[in-house]
Amino acid sequence: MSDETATGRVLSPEKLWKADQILEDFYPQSMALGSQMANLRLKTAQARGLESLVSATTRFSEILNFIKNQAGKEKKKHEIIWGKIAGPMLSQLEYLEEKAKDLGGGNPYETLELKLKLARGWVRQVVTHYLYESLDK
Amino acid sequence: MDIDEYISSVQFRQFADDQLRKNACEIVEEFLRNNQVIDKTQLYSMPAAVQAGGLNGLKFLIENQRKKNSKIRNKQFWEFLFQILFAQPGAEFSLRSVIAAELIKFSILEDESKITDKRARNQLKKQNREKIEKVMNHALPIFIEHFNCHYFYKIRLGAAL
Repeated sequence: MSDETATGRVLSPEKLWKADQILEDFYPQSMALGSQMANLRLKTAQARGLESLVSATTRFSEILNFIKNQAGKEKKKHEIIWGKIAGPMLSQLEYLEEKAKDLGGGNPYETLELKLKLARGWVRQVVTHYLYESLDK
Repeated sequence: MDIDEYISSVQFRQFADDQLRKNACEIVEEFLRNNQVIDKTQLYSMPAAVQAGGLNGLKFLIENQRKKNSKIRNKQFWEFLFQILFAQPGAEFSLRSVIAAELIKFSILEDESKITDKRARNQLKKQNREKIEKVMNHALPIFIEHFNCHYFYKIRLGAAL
């Protein structure tokens, strides 16, 4: 099995553990966002679309841009969903980005890798909770 | 590190992901602070122009739009964009200035002020300009993505047409 990552370097077990710890601590906020998405009745395909993009991208800012774009293209005459969840999503991702920078300690390889790792962990938390909450809707 | 090594480096990837995004967002907000909002359809042609013709393709589009647009606010937008992307020397937050600052950080641009001979200085200026434009060409598709998405988001949040 290859131990290469998207940036060609491998994070140390200690940093991987710290990243997991950041995600554990962040879980309540992710759940709150998942609940908000379910309450607003975001379509499952849209949540899955976000999840797929976060899993596939090699650039963290592509995730932010996807969310901004989703909010930006909603028509005013239709129900606003992304316009309500984009703000909290962007804030949460920007918080995780800062955490990745702290943990990366100025190393660009590690910072890029940690940003993506945290974003992927985050989207799994958010979408899983959204799906769970959507069961009752 | 030379210019080609920089373009393929993780440092450039980080720059495109972080500083370039912040720069594009600042530029959008600067535009919205001082100008009327324009319809987002005005922005739709930019990614294709960059993909097809790079920096020159975008320059051609902007110059064309500056001339042909009949609405004043659209003309102001394209003029603003021209200044941000192509004016020399650009404003502090222009794309050119941000890339130049990044290249200075890695000692890729050489200091023109240290050269006393006028001809040699002009030669160095030209070389530095070529290096900046090479990076601009690589950064531009991502810059436009950041710019457009932030613009769509900001106008959706509140700036009325």
